[in-house]
Parts: sequence; structure tokens; C-alpha cells
Amino acid sequence: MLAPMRPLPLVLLAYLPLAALFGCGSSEPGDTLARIRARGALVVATEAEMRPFEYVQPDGSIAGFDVDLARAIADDLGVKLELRNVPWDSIIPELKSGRSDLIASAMTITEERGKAVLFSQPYFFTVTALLVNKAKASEIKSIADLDREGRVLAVKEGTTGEFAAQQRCPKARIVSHKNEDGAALDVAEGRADAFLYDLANVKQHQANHPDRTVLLPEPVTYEPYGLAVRHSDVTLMARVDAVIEAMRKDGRMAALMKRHAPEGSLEKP
Amino acid sequence: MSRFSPLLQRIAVTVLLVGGLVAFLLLAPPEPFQWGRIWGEGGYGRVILGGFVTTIWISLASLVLGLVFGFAGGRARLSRSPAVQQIGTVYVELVRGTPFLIQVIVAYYCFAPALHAFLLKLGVPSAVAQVLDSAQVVGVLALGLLCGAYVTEIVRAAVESVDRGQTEAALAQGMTHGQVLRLVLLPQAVRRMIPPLTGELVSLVKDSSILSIITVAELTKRSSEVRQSTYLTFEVLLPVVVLYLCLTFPLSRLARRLELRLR
Repeated sequence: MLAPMRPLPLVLLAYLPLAALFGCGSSEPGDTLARIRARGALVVATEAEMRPFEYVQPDGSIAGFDVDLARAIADDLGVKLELRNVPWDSIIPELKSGRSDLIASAMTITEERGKAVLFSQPYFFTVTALLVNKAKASEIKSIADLDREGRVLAVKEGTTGEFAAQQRCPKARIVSHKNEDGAALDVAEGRADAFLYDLANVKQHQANHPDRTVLLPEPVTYEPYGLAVRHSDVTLMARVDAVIEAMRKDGRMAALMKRHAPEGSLEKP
Repeated sequence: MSRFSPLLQRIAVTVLLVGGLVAFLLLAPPEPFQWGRIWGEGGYGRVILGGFVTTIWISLASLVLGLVFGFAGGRARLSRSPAVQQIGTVYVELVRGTPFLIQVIVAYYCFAPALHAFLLKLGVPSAVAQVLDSAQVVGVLALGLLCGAYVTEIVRAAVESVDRGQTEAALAQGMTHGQVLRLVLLPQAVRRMIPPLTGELVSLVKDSSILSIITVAELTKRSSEVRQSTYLTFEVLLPVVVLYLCLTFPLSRLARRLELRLR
């Protein structure tokens, strides 16, 4: 008879889904501020794929507007800044599972997201604009021209560009991309008529495909960016809001604008 | 063609196919390539190569784990005890029947934090619990489990493909079941496992890119970051394709050699 292998460790595998059920969504209880101080570091989640707010430099480090903002908050708390480079799809789970304390990732404040996370006051207002295929530029002068049967509008998945596209262009076919360079290439190659995204990024894409795309600089929407924490971290958020307020008053925020030159403004337009 | 040596024929065909493909991609770009911004001085070469190194070690570590899980799973599925058999079946169905992307997210964002808290309560040193909770370790375990599920089936199928008469003959000679498996079935089965195992290992290398969703900075994630930092696509992705081939092609060659030697 075949000697049966000891089954115990494998049987435990069967409990895996059960453990997951209990574990899900339950961030560690207790005071996050106290844990940040005990750890000596503020852990910040960011998707470093959004110039000039957060992006990877040739040496592998992450820089940008949000990084400097997060560093100011860490300085205020008297701890180090620890950045975690997280894909966009995982950024809210990252916060809710307790792996990060704060999201600083050019995140637009929306009602839906507000149900999942607690937002700071807006620290920046970005402008979304359209990148249009050059051959179709004569027909497409504004977002209204895209709201037709047969029009194809590229967006980045899960971004406000996507939300705005769904609202403003219900008749168009909306194609959502994982990466913004894929969306821009779709426009350059004529598979999509236009790409709706933040003006600063769309400008860069236009510069990369100068012969095949044009930029419609007319703003489509203004979107407020906010930092985010877990709903339970009200005290941490009070500190974050206070830092943002102080930075607005003492000119540090204006200095960030000058340094990173994002498209948009600190005040609601 | 038959006048040329087989090796020459192979080289010629490879150069024609691959060279043709590369030439097609490189010769007529819609816009000029900007290789220097990625690979030149002060470019992103080191970031991408760093991701490549991560992909290598993650693939190797989960390959080893996958073989261990797979042979254990295969052994369970070939057991004569229904309970033990079922362990293997549940493992395979659970892992093979659900999307790997979802497994990884659940493992890292639900299961691992729960395990972390549980271990700390048990009094496990926090440094140890921390390591078990890291994205790399969770990722390698998940990838190893995925690979193991497929290897389990490869092992089972290979052993079962050996003619039944041999088992009956060996049992009639007075061998135990364990001996039959070890001495008669496995040596023949291993040879049959190699081609499907190779396919499995090659897909393991590619599947490692899914770990980027839980922050593992492997080759695909790193190239995505560089793409969004520079807004360049082909200048990043074409070399990345070559890097993946540098990993998968030697694997296939090695497996082919092993297969010929065992024949």
C-alpha cells in the first residue's frame, strides 16, 4: 500500500478562504498616528506613473509634486517618508489592508471614492483635455463632437477622464486602457479618435507624437486632487489638512507649483 | 535546402523569421525612435535591468517551490487513500479553477495581513512575521502554488500514462505499491513529464509579471513605470521582449537537451 503522506499541512490549505474572509477589509485597529510614530515612518502609497506628480527617475527613486507634499507631512509628524509604488488598481486595497497610511497619488476627489476613503481638502485642481487624432482634427473641435455613434474615445482605466467620458459622451465607444501611453498610441494610430486625460500628460503625449496628434487645450473638466486615509483615521487627516493649509499660507505650496509646473491651479478655477 | 546541413538550415530559417520581424518593426517606425532617452547615459537602463533581476529570482524561487508542491500534489493524487487523493484534487481545482490575478490580490491584501496579525498573536517575532507578509514572499508563494497545481496534473498524467500491465506485472512479482511507483513508473514517467513541464516553466516566467499588481517591482512593472516617466513605449517594450526571451529560450533548450538525454 502506498504510504499516505502526512495530510495535515495540506488540509490547512482548505481553511485559506475562511481566513481570508475574516481578514479582508479589517485594517489593524488602534491609533494610526501612534503606529506611525512607533514605526518612525509614514508609509505612503503612490502609483509612480503620473508625471509630474509622481514618477520614477533614472536612478529608480520616485519624485514629484505629491512626493514633496507627502514629505512635508512626514516632516511635520517628525518621521521618515516611506514610499510604496503601487499599481492604481491596488491603491485603495493597499490603504484599507493597513499596508499604507496615506495615498498621495494625484487622486481626484469623487463621491464614489469618498465612500471607500477619507479625503483631505483639495490641494490641487487639475485640468483634463483632449488629445485628438490629426486626421480627425477638422471634425473634432470639442468634447461635444465626440458624443456620436461610431466615435471612439480612449481613457485610462479608473481615472476621472474615464468618469467624465462616460458622462459627457454616452453615445461614443469608450475604450479604457491600463497605461496612458497605450491610450495615446491608439489616438496616434487612429484606432481611437481622442484621449481624455489630464492636460499636463496629454501635452507630453502630443509632443511625443507631433505629426499624428493635436491637442485641444480647452479644458473639459476641472478635477480636485486630495490625499486619502482610512475613514477611521480622522486625527491623522486633521494633521494632513493642517499641513496643507499651512503650506498654502507660507508659500511652500506655491514653491511646489513652481518646481513641478503641473497644469492646473491651487485654487478652484 | 537538403544540400545544406541541418544546423545551417535551422540558423537560416531563424534569422529569416526573427530578423524579418525585427526589421519590420525597426525599419519604418511612424516616428523616429529615441533609444538614448531610455538606454543612453542617465537613462533608465538600470531601472529596467533591476526589474529583470527581480523577475529572474522570483521565477527561479517559484519554480523550485512549484516543483516541490507539484510532486507532493502528484503523489497525493496517485495515493490509494481517497482522503489523501482528495487533498490533491481540492488543491488543483482551487488553484487552477480561479484567475491567478484574483488569487494574488486576495493572498496579499486579505490573507497575508490576517496571517500576519495571527502570527504576532502567537508570539512569532515581528521580524519573521514581517518577512512572511512582504509582497515578494507572498508573490513567490502564490506563484509556486499556481505552478504546483499544473505540475501536479503533469505528474499524475505522466505516471498514469505508463501501461497498466507493467503495474500488474510488478505487483505480481511481489513489489509493494511504493516500490512500483518508485522503481517502475516514475523513471518512465519523468521522461514524459519533461515537455509539458517545460511549457509550464516558461509560462511561470511570464506569469511572474502578474505579481506587479501587489507592488513587486519586476520587469513588467518597471517597464510600465519607465513608459509613464518618458512617455515612450517601443523603446522600452522591444528590449523587454528580448529580456524575457533571454530567460525563456535557455529554459526550453535545457529541457530539450534533458529530454534527448533521457530518451
